Amino acid sequence: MSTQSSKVGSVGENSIGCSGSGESKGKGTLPGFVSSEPRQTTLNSTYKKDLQVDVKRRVGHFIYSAALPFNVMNDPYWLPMAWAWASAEQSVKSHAVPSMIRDRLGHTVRNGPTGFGSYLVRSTHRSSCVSALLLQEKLTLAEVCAAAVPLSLSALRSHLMAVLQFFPPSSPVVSAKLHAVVLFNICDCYVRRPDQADRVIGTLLGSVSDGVIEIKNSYAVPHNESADQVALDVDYHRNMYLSHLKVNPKEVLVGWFSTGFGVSGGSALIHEFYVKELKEAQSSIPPIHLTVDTGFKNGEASIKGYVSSNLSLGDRPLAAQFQEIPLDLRMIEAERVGCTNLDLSSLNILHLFFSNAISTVLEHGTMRIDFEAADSCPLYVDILKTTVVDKLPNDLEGMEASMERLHSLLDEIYKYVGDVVEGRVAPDNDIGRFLADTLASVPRMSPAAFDKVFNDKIQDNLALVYLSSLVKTQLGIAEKLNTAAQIL
Amino acid sequence: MANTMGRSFLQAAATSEEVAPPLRVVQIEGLAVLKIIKHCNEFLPSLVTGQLLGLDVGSVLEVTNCFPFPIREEDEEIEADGANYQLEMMRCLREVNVDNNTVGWYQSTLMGSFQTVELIETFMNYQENIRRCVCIVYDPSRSAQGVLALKALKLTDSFMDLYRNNNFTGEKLREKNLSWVDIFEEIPIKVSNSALASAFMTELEPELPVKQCDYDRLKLSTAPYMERNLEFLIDCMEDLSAEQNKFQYYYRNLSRQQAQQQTWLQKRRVENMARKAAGEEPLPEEDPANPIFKPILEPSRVDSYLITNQISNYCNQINGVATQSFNRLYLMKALHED
Repeated sequence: MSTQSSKVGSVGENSIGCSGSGESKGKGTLPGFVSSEPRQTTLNSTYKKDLQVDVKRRVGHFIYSAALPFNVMNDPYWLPMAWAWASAEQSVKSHAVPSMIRDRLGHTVRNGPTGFGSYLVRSTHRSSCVSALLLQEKLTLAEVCAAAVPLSLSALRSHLMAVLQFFPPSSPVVSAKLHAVVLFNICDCYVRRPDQADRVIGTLLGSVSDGVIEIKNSYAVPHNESADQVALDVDYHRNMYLSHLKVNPKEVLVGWFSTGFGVSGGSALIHEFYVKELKEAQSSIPPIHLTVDTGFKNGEASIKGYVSSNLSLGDRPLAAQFQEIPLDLRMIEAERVGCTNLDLSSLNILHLFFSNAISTVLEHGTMRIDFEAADSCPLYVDILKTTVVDKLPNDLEGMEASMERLHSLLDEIYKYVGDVVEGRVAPDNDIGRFLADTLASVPRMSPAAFDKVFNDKIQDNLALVYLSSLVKTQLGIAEKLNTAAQIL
Repeated sequence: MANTMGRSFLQAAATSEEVAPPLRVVQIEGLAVLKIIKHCNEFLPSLVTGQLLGLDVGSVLEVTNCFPFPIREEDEEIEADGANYQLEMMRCLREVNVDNNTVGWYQSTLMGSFQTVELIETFMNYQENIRRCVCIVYDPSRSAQGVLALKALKLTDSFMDLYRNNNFTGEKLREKNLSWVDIFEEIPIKVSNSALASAFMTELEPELPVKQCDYDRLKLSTAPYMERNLEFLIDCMEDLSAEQNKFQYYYRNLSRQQAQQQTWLQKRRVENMARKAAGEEPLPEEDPANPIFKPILEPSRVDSYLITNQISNYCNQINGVATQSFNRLYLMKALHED
């Protein structure tokens, strides 16, 4: 067993799917996952190389010293163990296969399926082993394909697709927040796109904090897309970026968007470009790719964010895998949106209301109801939802609307409580507690004290109204006097 | 000049002078509204401006997009940069099929104190190049009260004529019957959205029982906002009284001068009589070289008008907030009576 540490690189010269044949890279049966950009370092290789090497060495030592045969992986309990390992420690994969094995594989690939390779080949009829291998060793598509020649590639691919989904994200990005402006901008760009273009592509700007990318702004970039190549107007992108930076230097490049459903081959290329741009800007975050489905496929609006990680064989990258990350659609404070659910929002408002105010006497006793947690709600969503709003609501109209809503909320809660008390609806503890809290948060004040406070406030307000009307009258008079004055 | 009114070429060629229908409504797209709000809020408390792009169609001015201006420093060389930035943005936006037509500008304001001479100056500048332009004013502090404080303003034509000729005397103003309400004209705003955007919004944001604006409106503590409003109001009153003083001074001077003229005239007449009696030439009854005949300039009323405008704005705001408070307080009372 000789260690052939330096031969790994030569595997790349061979094609996927076949050992020893001289096909050029990039062609094969997995076009959707292949990016044609050469030589990108993976995130894992850059950041966790030392860790990985260490782990590999130790595990290899263990297997050698215990004289375990390498096809121990065929064991039905190997896979569950590997799973548990992988999920317990997401940053460091459990490398049960030492690097020496990978070198061996490389040797195998070049020299035909003999030795260990043949082991693998014969024993990988069960897809579980392939997955085990991938999981443990993070071997690339190419290596596994190379080793598993007799397996039908379609079966392999379908299985690999399933396997690939399970990789935990290897990048520091955890989630993204999308501002509504961006969504509107993208819709607008899509509506205004040139006739021959199928989709719109553009840049996303924003900021990053604690692994959460906040997307605040965007602009479209003209591009050309044909069957086999994608051209992006780089100068335009750079110019707009500089212009935007002049206004707000804190909004930096965070990624790009495209309309349309799903991720396509062209997208991978464009993504590479943005990765390079970010690298130039010396940013440590990977770019995020946002897809906005304007075609409403599946009958629903889907906005998805992806982060890509590269799968590589040694130094040569082979595929860019796009992993979806959780996306939170929120609006900035002025618009004040979140994802809200059900009625805790209503309880929140009561809470706010009561806590500023006066006491009330609760006669219902403790209730047991359950509502869900809510965040703040959109301010202008009703304006933004409809196609035309004839008039922006002014003070009084808005007040009226709010009060009506409050009224309906109170009705609903009352009804709910009545239902629970009579047993028509199953009680829910959390809601009950929250209701009790809310009602208890009303400050207790004696009627006399409350009257005093109330009257004071009313008087203050009246005084203000009086003053302002006085001022206005004064202005009217002054106006008349000024212009009516006749000079002799 | 480009004809933006959509009539046939023949009609346009036939009419020698086009009479534009008065601007009745400003239609803004949701996208522009969001961008304005975002930009203004990001840079609180400093005030920012930006450019509005859109189309001028008949009696509706459509604003379809906008872009912000960078904060201009007081540096000479930045002036050229500013112009470059604008050109660059317009060019880039043109490439992605955004309407490349400037229809005005937007600015953020503090407590509604936007009536300044600079505003009028900017209006005049814009008016030279664009036939119809509008200024959108956004008030972030008022929006925190639960109202979308977006206003579209335009200078009235009569005011513009007067201002252009710099003819701001009391006479002229009385002639045109122009008072301080007639400086700015507020135009109602309509918000429109593309069908795609509204589809997305309805899809993504479920119909909620309660909204954040309700939180804001039902907040009982309005004291800070009112206080600031009152502060501004007081300042304005001081300014107004200063202006009034100026006018009084002018009038006093004027009447004094007239009195002087009268006495001088009397003296001349007496002299002339004496001369006539003595058989000499009568002296002219006017003497332009005499300093008492120098006309005194009447101070411009623009400032006082602007201040008056501002005061009335504050008063309106205070009224609005006070009414809201009344509502809230009575609500509390009802709650307590349980």
